[in-house]
Amino acid sequence: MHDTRRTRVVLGVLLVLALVLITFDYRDGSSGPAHDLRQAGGSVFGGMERVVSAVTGPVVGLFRGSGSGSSSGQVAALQQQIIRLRAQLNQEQLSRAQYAQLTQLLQLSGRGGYRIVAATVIAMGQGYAQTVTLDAGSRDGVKPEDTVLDGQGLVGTITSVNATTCTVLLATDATSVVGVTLADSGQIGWVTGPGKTRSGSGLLRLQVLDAGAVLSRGTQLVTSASVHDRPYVPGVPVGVISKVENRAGSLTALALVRPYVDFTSLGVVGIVVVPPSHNPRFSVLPPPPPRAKPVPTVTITVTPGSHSTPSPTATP
Amino acid sequence: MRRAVLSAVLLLVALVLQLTVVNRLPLPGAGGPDLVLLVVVAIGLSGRPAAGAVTGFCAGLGLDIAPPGSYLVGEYALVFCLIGYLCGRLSGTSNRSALLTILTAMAASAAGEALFAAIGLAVSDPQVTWPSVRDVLPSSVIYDVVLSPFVLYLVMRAVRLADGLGRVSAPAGAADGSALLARTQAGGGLARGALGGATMLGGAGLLGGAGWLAGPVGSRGPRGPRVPRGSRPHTPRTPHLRQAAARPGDGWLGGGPRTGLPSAPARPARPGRPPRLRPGAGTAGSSIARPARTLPRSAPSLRMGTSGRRRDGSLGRTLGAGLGGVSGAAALRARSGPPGSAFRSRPGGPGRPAAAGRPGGSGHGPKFRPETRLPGGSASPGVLRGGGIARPLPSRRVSLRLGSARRHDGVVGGSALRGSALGPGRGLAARPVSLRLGSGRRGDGALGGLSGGSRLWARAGRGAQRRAAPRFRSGGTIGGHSVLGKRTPLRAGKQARFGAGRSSFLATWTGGRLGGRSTVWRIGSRRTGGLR
Repeated sequence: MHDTRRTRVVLGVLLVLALVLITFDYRDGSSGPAHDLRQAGGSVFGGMERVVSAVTGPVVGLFRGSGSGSSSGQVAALQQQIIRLRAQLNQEQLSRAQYAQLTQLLQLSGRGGYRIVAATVIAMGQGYAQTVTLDAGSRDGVKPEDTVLDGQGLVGTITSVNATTCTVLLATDATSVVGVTLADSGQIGWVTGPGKTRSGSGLLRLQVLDAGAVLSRGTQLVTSASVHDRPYVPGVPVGVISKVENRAGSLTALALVRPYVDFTSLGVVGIVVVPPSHNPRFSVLPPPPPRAKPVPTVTITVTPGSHSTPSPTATP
Repeated sequence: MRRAVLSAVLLLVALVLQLTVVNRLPLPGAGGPDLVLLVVVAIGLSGRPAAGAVTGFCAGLGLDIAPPGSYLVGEYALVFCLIGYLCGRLSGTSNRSALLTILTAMAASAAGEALFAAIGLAVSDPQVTWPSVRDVLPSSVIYDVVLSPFVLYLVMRAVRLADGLGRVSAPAGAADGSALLARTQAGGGLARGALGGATMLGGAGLLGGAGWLAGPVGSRGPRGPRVPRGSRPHTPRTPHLRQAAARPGDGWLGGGPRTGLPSAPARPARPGRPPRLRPGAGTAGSSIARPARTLPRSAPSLRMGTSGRRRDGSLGRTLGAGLGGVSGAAALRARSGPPGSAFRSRPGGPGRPAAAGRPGGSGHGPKFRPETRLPGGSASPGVLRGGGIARPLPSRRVSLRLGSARRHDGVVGGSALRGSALGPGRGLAARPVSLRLGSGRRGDGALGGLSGGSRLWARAGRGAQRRAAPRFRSGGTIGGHSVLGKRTPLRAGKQARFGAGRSSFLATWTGGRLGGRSTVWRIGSRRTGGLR
C-alpha cells in the first residue's frame, strides 16, 4: 500500500515514543512515567485478568491437571453428560488440589511462624519473563518485596503491587537472586534463576562464597536472613543440590539446585505479610529423603590351586 | 472507526487470553505462542501501514504494562509497532493471493519474535539472555507460525463482519442511487451475463458503499482473488468488484474482433476466457495487456472500477436512449450498453480488430475514469453528477483513449478510431466523449468530459488528420510514424513496455504477477506514463 508521509510520521513518532519509554523505564524503574504507566495498566488489566482467570481457571486446570481419557460413548446425551461430569470432577479435583496446596502452605507457614495471605495465580508472564500475577493486592496488605512461598518452598518475591493484584518475580527468573544458607554447613551463598528454559525445568545456580566449601548432592538450602526480612524472609526452603560443578580457579563454589517448588503448576501460594519473629533456621525444611543404606557386598576370593568349595552365596 | 474499535476489542481479548490462559498452559518447549503478536500481524495485514503501526504500538504497550509484565516498558511497543507497520506495508503487495498473505503472516510473526529477542538483547534486558533465547525463540516461532493462519482467518472474518456492519449503515441515498443505476444497467440490456457482470454490478450497486469501498482500507482484501464472483456481495472487500470490473471490459475488449454477433445483450460474459488483449498477441489492441490482472491493483483504479462501471452503464444507456430511434448504429449501441460495444457494433468492427480492439481497452471498468480527483469514489454525488454530464450529449462521438493521461495519448484510441473505424464522415456529431484509460494523471475526468474535453478534442482532431497508426504493438512491424505529440514521437520498432507506475519490490521480483501497490499499469515509462 502506499506509504504516505503521514504514515511515516506516525511510525516515527511511535518508535520515538517507545524508545523514550524504554529509556525512562531503564533509568528509574521504580518511579517516573513508566512506573505510573505500569501502575495504571496493572489496575486496568489486573482486574480483567482476575475476572478472566476465574472463568478460565478450570480450563487451564483441565489441561494441566489429570489427563482426560477418551469417551467412546456414541450417544450424544451420554457424551454431554460425561463431559459435564468430567468437568465437575475436574473442578472437584482442582479445588481438592488447591485445598491440599493450601493445607501444605498453612503447615509450612505455621512451622515457620509466618503470617501469610493466600493468593492464587491468575496470569503468567509473557515470553522470557518468569513472572506471575496473584489475585491479592495492597488491599490485602501486600507490599512490594514481600516473600511468596507455597507448600513446598520459596516461590519468589513481590515486585509490584496494585490494589487488587500483585506481580511476583519467580525464583527461576534470570533476574532473581536469592540469598541462601546451606542446611548442613551453614555456608552462605546465593541462587540465581536460569531464566526461561525448556519446559520450565530449569535448575537454579548456586554459588557459595567460600571457594573451598565442599558441596555435596542432597544438601538442602533455605533462604538466609535479609535486612528487614526483605526481599526474602529467612528459613524458607529453596531447593536441594542436584549437581555439583567444581571449577578449578573459580572464586566461588558452584552447584545446580533443584527447587522444591514446581514452577509450572503454581496454584495457591502464600504471601508473607508478617515475617517470623525469630529465624526459623532449618525447621521448615522437609525431612530429607531417607538415605539408601549401603548394602554389603560379598567378595569371593578364589585362590588357584587350593581346594575350592562353591561359595554359599553363589547358589541362588 | 469501526475497525479501530474492532482492533481494540480483538487486542484486548488476545492480551488477556494470552496472559491468563496461554502462558499458563504447560506447552512443550520453552516458548509459547504470542497471540497478541499474531493479532497485530493479522490486523496489520488487513489495514494500512499507519493503522498497523498504531495498532502494534498500542498492543505492545498493553503487553508491557499489563501486570505480570516485567520487561522495560516500551519494548513490546517498539517491536509490535514495527511489525504492524511492516504488515501494513506488505498487505498491499500480498493481497493478490491468500497463500501469499498466509506466508506473510507467518514470516511476520516469526520476525516479531526474533525482533523482540534482538531488542531484548540489544537493550540488555536481564531476562533476555542468550541461553533463554536459544531455548525460547525456536519453539515460540514454531507456535506462531503454526497458529498464524488461524488467527489471520479469524481476524479477517471479524474485520469483514465489522465492515459488513458498516456497510449496512451506509448512507441510504448513495446506496439507492447506485443500486438504481446498477439495476438499470443490468436490466437495460447490458446483460453481461449473470455470472460476471450483472450480478456483481447489482451487488455492488445494492451495497451502495462504493465510496466506502473505494477507500484504501476497504479496498484491500488478501483473499480477494479466491472469492468466487457473484457470491457474497455484502463483503466490503473490493476484490469482487475488481474482478467484476475487469470482466465486462474483457468481454467488450475481446468482443471487438468477434463482433460478428451484434446481439451484444445476448452474449454472456464468458468465464475463464483469457484476456483477449495480451502483450504477445501482436494485434494492435494487444498492448492493453490483460488489464484484468493488473488494473485492479491500485486504489485509484479500484475507484475507477466502480465508478467506471457506473459510467459504463450510464454512457451506454445514454447513448442508447439518445440515439435509440435515430439510427441503426445507435440502436446497436444501445443494446450493447457500454461504450465499447458501441464501437463493436459498428460496421466494419469485426473486420478491424485494430480499430475495435484497441479502444476496447477502455472498456474495462477500471479504466474509465471520469473523475479521479473526486475523493469519495463512485458513490459520491460528484461522480454521479459527472456521469450525468455525459448523458445529455447524445450525439457525441465516443472516442476511447488509451494509455495514461499524457496529452497526446488519448489519440491512440481516438485517432485510430477516427481514422479507421470512426471516420469523420460518419456524421456523428460534435464532441467526442473520450474515455481514458490509464493513470490518474492530468487528463482525468475526461469521460465526464467537459473540462478536458475541448483540449483533448482539439488534440484528437489534429491526430485524426494524421495517419492513425496503431501505437501499441508488440512487434516492430509498423513503421515509425510520429503520429502524435511533439514530445514523444513513436519510434519505429519500439515495443510497448508495460510497467507499473510505482511497483513494489514484490512486483519487481515476480515480474508483476504478484505485488502491486502500483497504480494503474501503464504503457510506457513510469515517468511519462505514456507510450514511447
